[in-house]
Amino acid sequence: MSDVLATDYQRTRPTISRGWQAGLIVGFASLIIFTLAGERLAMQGYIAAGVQSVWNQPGDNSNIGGQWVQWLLVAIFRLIPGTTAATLSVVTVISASFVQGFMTHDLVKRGWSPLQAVLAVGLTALHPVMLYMATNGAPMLLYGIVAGLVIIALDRFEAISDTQSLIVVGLVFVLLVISWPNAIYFLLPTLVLLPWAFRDVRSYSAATAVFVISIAPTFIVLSGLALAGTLFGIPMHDLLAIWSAPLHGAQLQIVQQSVWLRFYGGKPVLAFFLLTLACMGLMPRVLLIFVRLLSNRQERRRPVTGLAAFFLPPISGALATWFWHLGSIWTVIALSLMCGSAWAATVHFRNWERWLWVASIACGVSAAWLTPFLWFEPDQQLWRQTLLGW
Amino acid sequence: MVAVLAVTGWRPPTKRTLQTAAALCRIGKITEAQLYEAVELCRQWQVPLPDVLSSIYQISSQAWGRQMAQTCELPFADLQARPPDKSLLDETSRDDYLRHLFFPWRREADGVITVVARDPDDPDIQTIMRKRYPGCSFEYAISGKFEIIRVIQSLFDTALSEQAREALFLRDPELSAKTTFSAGQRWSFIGLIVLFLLGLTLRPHFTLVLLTGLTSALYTLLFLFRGLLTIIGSGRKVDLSVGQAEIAALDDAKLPVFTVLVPMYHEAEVLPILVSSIRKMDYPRAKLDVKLVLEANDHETIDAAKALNAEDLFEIIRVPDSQPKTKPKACNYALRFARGDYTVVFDAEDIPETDQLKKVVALFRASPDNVACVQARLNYFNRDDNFLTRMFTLEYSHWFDYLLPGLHLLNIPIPLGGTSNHFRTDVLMSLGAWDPYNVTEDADLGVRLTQAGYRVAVVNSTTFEEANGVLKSWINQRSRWIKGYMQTWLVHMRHPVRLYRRLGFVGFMGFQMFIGFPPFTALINPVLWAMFLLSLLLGPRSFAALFPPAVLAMSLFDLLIGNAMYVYFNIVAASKRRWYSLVPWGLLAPAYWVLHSVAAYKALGQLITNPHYWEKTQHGTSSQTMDKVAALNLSEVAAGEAS
Repeated sequence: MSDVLATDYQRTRPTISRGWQAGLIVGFASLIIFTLAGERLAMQGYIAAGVQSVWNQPGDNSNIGGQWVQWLLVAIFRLIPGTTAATLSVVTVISASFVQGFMTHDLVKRGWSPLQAVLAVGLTALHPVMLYMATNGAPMLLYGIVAGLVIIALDRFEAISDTQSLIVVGLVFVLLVISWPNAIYFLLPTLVLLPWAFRDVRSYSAATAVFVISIAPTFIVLSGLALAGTLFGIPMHDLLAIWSAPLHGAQLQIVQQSVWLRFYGGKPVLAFFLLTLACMGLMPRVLLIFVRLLSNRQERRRPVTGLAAFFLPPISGALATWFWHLGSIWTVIALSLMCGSAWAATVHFRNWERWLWVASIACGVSAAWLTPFLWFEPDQQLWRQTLLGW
Repeated sequence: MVAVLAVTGWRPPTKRTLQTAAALCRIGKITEAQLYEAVELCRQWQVPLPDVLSSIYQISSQAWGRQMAQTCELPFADLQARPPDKSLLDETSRDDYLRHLFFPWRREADGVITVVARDPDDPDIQTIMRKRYPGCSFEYAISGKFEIIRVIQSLFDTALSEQAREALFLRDPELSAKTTFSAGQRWSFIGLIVLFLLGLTLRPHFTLVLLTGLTSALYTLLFLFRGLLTIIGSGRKVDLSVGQAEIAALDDAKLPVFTVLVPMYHEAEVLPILVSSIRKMDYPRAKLDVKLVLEANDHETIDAAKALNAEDLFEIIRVPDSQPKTKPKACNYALRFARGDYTVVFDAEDIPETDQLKKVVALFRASPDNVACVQARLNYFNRDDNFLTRMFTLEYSHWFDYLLPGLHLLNIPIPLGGTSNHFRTDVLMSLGAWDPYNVTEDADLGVRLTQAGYRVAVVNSTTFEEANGVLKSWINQRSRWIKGYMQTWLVHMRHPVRLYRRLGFVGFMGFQMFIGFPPFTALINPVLWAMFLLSLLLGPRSFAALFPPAVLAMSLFDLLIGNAMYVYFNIVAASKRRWYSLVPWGLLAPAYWVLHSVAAYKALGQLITNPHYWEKTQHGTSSQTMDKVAALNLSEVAAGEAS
């Protein structure tokens, strides 16, 4: 082949960017890890608590409240012949692998070297909370993804402050509310942060408009669902009960099964401190948010996204504990993991910060497997027992 | 194709022109400093010196003509006392007369032809005359610019009026709304009605379900489309088309002449607003070719315009009385006298942002050649007057700030707004300009531009208008708009396949969504509201049993989510302009939709009985408008006393 032809060939050869290459590597690696773990769990007959009820939900109106996305997905999967509740594990494995791959690509796009990105995201796949979300078929992964989207939407709103970003925040809120029964615990503190993130707030009417525009889509969708229900004879009282259930305490059975609620139920302040400590200990990379707030002027100028990524998970966990609704701290750790990742996808780290991020993930993964604090709930104990035999 | 009158090739002022200006200085009409400044501006802007003197120092065209005649020792032509010899003028040279401001006035006994001109030193006049009258000798008489234009206009008004009315129809009858329904459309409508009646008779349930299903699908589609446009248009990126740096980079010498058409009819009361707005424009005033387009029989407005003594600013174009008496016909007539490379239409009460023309020029220059029109955003200055003006403001904000930028980004035909659309004059003329038989000629022109391969851009500059806050007038205005949209849809759907080929899938669907469906939904809404009330009376469950689940789900989605999201779009509309006090008013949008439906039924009736009737919008009804006029009048009095 002549030189000229070689050059032409090089010029026209289809190329995959380094980001996508790294993303594919991490995505496939995660898929293998998650599949192996999921297969082992399935072979041992493990089904996470609640997954079977998620699978059975379609048709039971009173249990759908706040889980419309799952309801729709499950309804679609049930159309496929031969599917069972275990199918949901396949869905979470594939979704989690996709998220991992996409996250790697995004980090490389933001200046990370492929090695750093592969290490950072690849190590995350070994975190027990990530592994748990990816393999047990429970909707926790969906909550985490939507919470991550809230952080990304919040960052865009804080950075641009245009109407589009505010509409996007509103639409993500809708997604949050229709996929997560306990969304209100996450939504309320986010609303408190909103005016702070809006750099053009100069009057009460502006702040009010921010609330109205961000909350209106959620209100519209919920009202629409409620009205549709009443038109078809479901009493308004029952419908309101669906949506207000998170504020009325959990079922006695759940409280009895939860070690966390037995100790801390109804104690929000204590729960908040413990959950914050847990997030910092089991997910120490979130501490980098404070490092950046102290050392980076741009981060200080737009602090809301970082603070939201750090504080929203423990605050929402504390609120849920207050109302006796947090069955396990794993949800909070999962939210912290996803919110932290989403925050990392919004900032441009310096090189030493990237290495610090990787190191803190390694520490977090080790701590999470070894700290007894994470493993006192029976379901998680059973999961670890089934997966690793200890 | 009609030639554009834009003057090309600027020449520095001749010796006699400078002598005339100096003479004006000597007799005290201008100071010496003003003289130097005018000459400097003349060179800087590259426009004729008398235009600078007229626009900056109010030296009337007649005063200049008389002084020029005196300086050149030539006769001053009193054109009122001695009108021109019509046999000397020929229609084919009309554009030359207007471009060079001259015409052959009379033939003397010795065969010499006297030519009336503003500038006897213009070499092109001699060339044209020698070509037209070979072997003849010429003499010059002088007259003012506007006197010459007025004579040319009156001499050719019959032919020009005919062209203004029929040019498009004669050129392409298929694109004119002169005929409302084509034969094919008439038969199609009759066929559909027969099919509907047959369906109701033979299979009523199936027909009901089919129609409900189709309507629900249509509403869902419309809602999703508008939602998409709203999200696209709400981004900050779409607002940054022209920045201050681009405006600052414009060289005054290279700015083109800009024609501003202001059609008016019985609107004398808002004239001071127009004069004030034009005076405040950040654009070399001598490069503004402002034409006040008035109906010849509207003596009240003509007298008011004359009384303003703003000849330095605009010329009056009298549109001969003929049917249809519409704004597009008046604009078509005035367009024949346009001298600008670009042409814009403003309403009389419009207050454009001062840098709008410069932004438009910058945007045209930065855009590809196929951008033939730039639409500025419209909004209202009297938004706080009452419920109607608030809702109107929210509606316009959504339309111009969100939907139009969204349409532009998706390359969908943009239905132009009634004013503040800036055209490349040559393209406008080549397309046959506005359709005088279409009562939303602007929307129609937007579609024709896209069909011809041109694009419409949206500029980040706003023109503030007076919102119609009087219910009867609002319904009249809205019924005209809806009727016009119906006309536009009918015109362009005469050949749907051809339209599809020209616009492509996205453009074709956009056309249906934006031009076709809104009148249809305004008509159908009361039927759906009635069905909803009926379902509540009969019991929703028994009513729901009539429909298959998919149709029911879609209908419920439209009713509960779709309608609410439309309300949401209204709420969002105010936020881009930071008019947060209007946000709660967005919740009242459903009441506003009822008014739309009232107007839609009026429009439908008129489409059948009186399709070309122009429902006049009453301006000057807002207290804010009258306050503005009063303030302008007061400041004028104060300025007069000070001088």
